[in-house]
Amino acid sequence: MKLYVTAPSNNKKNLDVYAESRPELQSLIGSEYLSVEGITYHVSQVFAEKGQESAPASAVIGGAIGLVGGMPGVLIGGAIGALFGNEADKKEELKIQAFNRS
Amino acid sequence: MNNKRIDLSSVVALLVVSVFACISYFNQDNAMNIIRVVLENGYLKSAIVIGIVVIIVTHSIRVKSKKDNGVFIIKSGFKPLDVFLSCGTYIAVSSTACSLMEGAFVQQFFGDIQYFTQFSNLDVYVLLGVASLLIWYVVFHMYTLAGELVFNASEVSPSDKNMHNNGN
Repeated sequence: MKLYVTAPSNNKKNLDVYAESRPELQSLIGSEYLSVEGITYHVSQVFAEKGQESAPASAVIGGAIGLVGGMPGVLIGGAIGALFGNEADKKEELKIQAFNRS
Repeated sequence: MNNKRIDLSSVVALLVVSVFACISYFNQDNAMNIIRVVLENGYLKSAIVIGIVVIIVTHSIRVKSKKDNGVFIIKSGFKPLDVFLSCGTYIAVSSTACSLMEGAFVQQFFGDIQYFTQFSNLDVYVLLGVASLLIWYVVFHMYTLAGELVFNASEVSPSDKNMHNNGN
């Protein structure tokens, strides 16, 4: 999960902070206003979005490790990796929703 | 209107896994021999250890301390110690897993060396699975951290209401 603000030029600016909710972000920064590249935003203008897809990479890692088990190992490793990655994606989605609702 | 989009990363992942499966099916003996060389010479172990050290140290330097979303397994509050302990834990887990995988792999698929003399076949297969899972965990975690490194993040500093109202 990554946090971002939308600049007046409609460009998304990713923030180098991480928080589970806006109150936590406010507490981390020490103010309800934050400055990003010279522009001041309110914490309510900060949103969360998905950082990177986990399932595909996890499937590839699982498949590569599964090579030690031959062809069945690759397929089983790939499938298990995809399942774990998908689970990680779902958890991240829940975190994103929780942040954006906070 | 058709709003279905192709998930390119999933397609690439599917292709890569298919290529791995084809290689291991059509060229099984060569693939097994190469994996044995990789495991016995410690290439996998070395690659993972180098990756762990580079990624954790770079991450700790580049990503601000505020952004602490589970990077370090151990959090004492003193960053150099956290980096050292986290590197140590990941290295210990991955190198042990590589060694177990090497032993289980050679014993089950070649049989010329018996690493686990008192273990049944099922035990060794389970050992192989658990070692694979541990390696997957470490590599996947390193991938996640490496992903955070490549995002171009802007520095955040506290501001006040006046600055906001002035449009700055």
